[in-house]
Amino acid sequence: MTDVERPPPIVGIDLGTTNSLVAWLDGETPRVIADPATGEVIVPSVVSFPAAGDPIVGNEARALAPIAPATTIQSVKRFMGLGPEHVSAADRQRYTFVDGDRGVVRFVIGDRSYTPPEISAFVLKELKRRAEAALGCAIRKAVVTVPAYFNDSQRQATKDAGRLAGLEVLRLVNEPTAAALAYGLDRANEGTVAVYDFGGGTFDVSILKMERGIFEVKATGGDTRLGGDDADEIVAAWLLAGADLPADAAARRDLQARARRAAEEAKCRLSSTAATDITVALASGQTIARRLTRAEFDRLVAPIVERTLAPCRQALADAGLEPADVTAVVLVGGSTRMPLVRTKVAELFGREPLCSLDPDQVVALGAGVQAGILGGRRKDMLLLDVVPLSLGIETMGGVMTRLIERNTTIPTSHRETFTTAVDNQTAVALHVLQGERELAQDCRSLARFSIPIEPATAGFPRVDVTFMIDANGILNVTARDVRTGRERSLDVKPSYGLSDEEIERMLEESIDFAEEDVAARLLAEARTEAESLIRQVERTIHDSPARLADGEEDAIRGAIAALGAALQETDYNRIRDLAQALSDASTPFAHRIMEASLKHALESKPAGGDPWA
Amino acid sequence: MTTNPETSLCLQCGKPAADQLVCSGCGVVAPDGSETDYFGVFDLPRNLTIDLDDLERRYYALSREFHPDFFHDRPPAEQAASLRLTAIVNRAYKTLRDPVPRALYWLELHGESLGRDNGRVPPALAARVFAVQEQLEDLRAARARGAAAAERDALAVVRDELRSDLRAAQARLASSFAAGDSTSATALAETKQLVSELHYLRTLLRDVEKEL
Repeated sequence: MTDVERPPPIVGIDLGTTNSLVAWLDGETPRVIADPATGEVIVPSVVSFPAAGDPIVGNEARALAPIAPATTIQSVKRFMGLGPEHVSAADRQRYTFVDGDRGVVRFVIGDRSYTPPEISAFVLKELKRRAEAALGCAIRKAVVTVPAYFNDSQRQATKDAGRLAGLEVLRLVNEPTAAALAYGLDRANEGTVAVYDFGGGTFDVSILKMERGIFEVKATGGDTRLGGDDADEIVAAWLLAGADLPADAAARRDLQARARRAAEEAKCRLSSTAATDITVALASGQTIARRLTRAEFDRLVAPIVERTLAPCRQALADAGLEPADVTAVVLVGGSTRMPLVRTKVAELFGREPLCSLDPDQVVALGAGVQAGILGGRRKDMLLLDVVPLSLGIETMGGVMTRLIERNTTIPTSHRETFTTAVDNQTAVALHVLQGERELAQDCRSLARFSIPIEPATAGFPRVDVTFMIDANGILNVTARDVRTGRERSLDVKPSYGLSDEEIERMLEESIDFAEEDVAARLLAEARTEAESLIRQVERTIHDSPARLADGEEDAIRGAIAALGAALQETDYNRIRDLAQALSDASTPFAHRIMEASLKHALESKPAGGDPWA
Repeated sequence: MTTNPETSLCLQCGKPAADQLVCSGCGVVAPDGSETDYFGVFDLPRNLTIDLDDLERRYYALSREFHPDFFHDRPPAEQAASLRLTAIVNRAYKTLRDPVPRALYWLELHGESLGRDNGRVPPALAARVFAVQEQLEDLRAARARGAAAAERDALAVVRDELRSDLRAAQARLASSFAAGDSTSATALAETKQLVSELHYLRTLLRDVEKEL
């Protein structure tokens, strides 16, 4: 290949409930990126909205939590991809939400509202800023981690947050899998590995087979609403039990925020001491002071730790394994510092867990490795992950009919053919669900799709609907008319997501883009995409000239020349159209290359020797 | 909802492309590979007996070639093809690595669908299914009363029995596989019965494990 400017690195981001970090693959080694100004690697996932001025992110925001609890959003990850009906009473007491019972959760801050992806975007922007300052180049692309047990809406919300922060999220990686990647760099850890990931707000467990650079997830399980935060709540409640709570709501909010903070600090101290004294100052000037022993703390949090064990057993059963089959157990997430967690995990798997990598950093390091894989820096490693929850559609009688079972390796697809039930029906409606329960009402609603149909006799129209779950665990639905072979457009109503239009509007409203002309931005985007397409196609021709059909190169070169000319002008619609034309012109060529690769993969395989043996 | 028996033609060029991953007429990757021969995906003969280590090596080799992670910097057509191919390869692997779906798929290829009898309990297991369901009911009732230790222990015994029977049935299926992939009517019927029993034992065991 000719000299090409080295592209800016892709970063790996651990967007955590409590803390967030950014990492990259520096040569062959993943490194967490520190803020050049302060040397800090952790950004607390806290965003505080002052009465005037820009939102405050990180440590400074965290310090504001007890002072301005209602306008300082902590653990926003717990709200990603949810609707108002999922918000708990405790959260309603703590924050103010836009009234309503449909769509996405919206926080009320002053005279405007913010969705969870918008708030997460502030954290992502801070990480982006940090990475740019440390690496000295613009960062545009990222890998972002999500809890393995996140459903489709939660994943989509995370991707939206990236987009709002000006980052193209190339891949969502499951947190336990990312941790396994970081540990898997050391080939000594190969075998069957259980990753127990207990974070601030979520719990995940994944069982993987790690062999010769392939990381194959066998099963995953978890609880997206269980974490160290719950332990803090329990200890805070214990602390305040019997205390005289102030009657007015604001004072109570304030006291609870202080108690939670004190509880969290006590929890951390109890990881290394047998007892600790906790004091919380009341507004009245009095203080609450109690002594908490490790034994009492263990008793308080035991039900929470116990709740993590059922998903572990389930994941083992789903993988068809016994605890004894597991060759290593890896601990991830700050909550695994609780001694009771270590004891219980060791008991369940019958072996001492590994925690040689910092449990706060290991997910970010793994995300950095995956970023390197996508950037072509590690061709030897590959993740094969699974979808955590079954996917299906609502059928007669409100029943959930499963189309894709949980723990199916992704990407995966399923096709169903639909027809009409009555004459001249003009659309077929689909309600897509995710979950393990039998009834539609007990599963999570993902979206409603409507497929337009030309009026005809009942049963005559036939539409193939393909449900494709991509490598991010995100669902894409496409429909095709069987008789004409034409793609059908779909009208999609996400149940708990933002529409493309809404994201566009948010982008336009956000401060970063306010000064820019929208047309200028669209032109810049179209140019970047077109330039990258030309580079990709030219490289393909360069790499596989033998696969070109007669006259094909001329046609493709012609399309490149036309697009190149349009790039000199400023009509972004023309650039987009000509880019599409180039893409279409090179499609048969691309397919021929894939076909050749397929033959090559099958021929050069077993008998001739496995390159990894 | 109905399934469609007609689309064995390539959607791109209209030529028959029934059992191939990539249409030989135009080179386009099958839209979702519903008609792709899963054995063919791995370049294996249509045999019930499969060397699982070999299958895994083939699966990993195809994954290393086609996974979308290696295509994000390629032209869109290649990206889309990589996604579709990987989805088909994943599904083929999921079907073939487990003896029950593999046998079901194999039967289907030989025109024997379990579909009609799938909901029906195999006669040999009827009494057993009934007894286990009753025990599950007992356990739930006991739980509701607050003391279920005895019922739990009884069900744990059932679970262990089911596990060992399942192992035995799997061994029988394996030896029937090894007997030589006969496609005679008797052999097909026998395989079908074994698979059906195995399927039911699994469902039963899963119900019991869920309750314990």
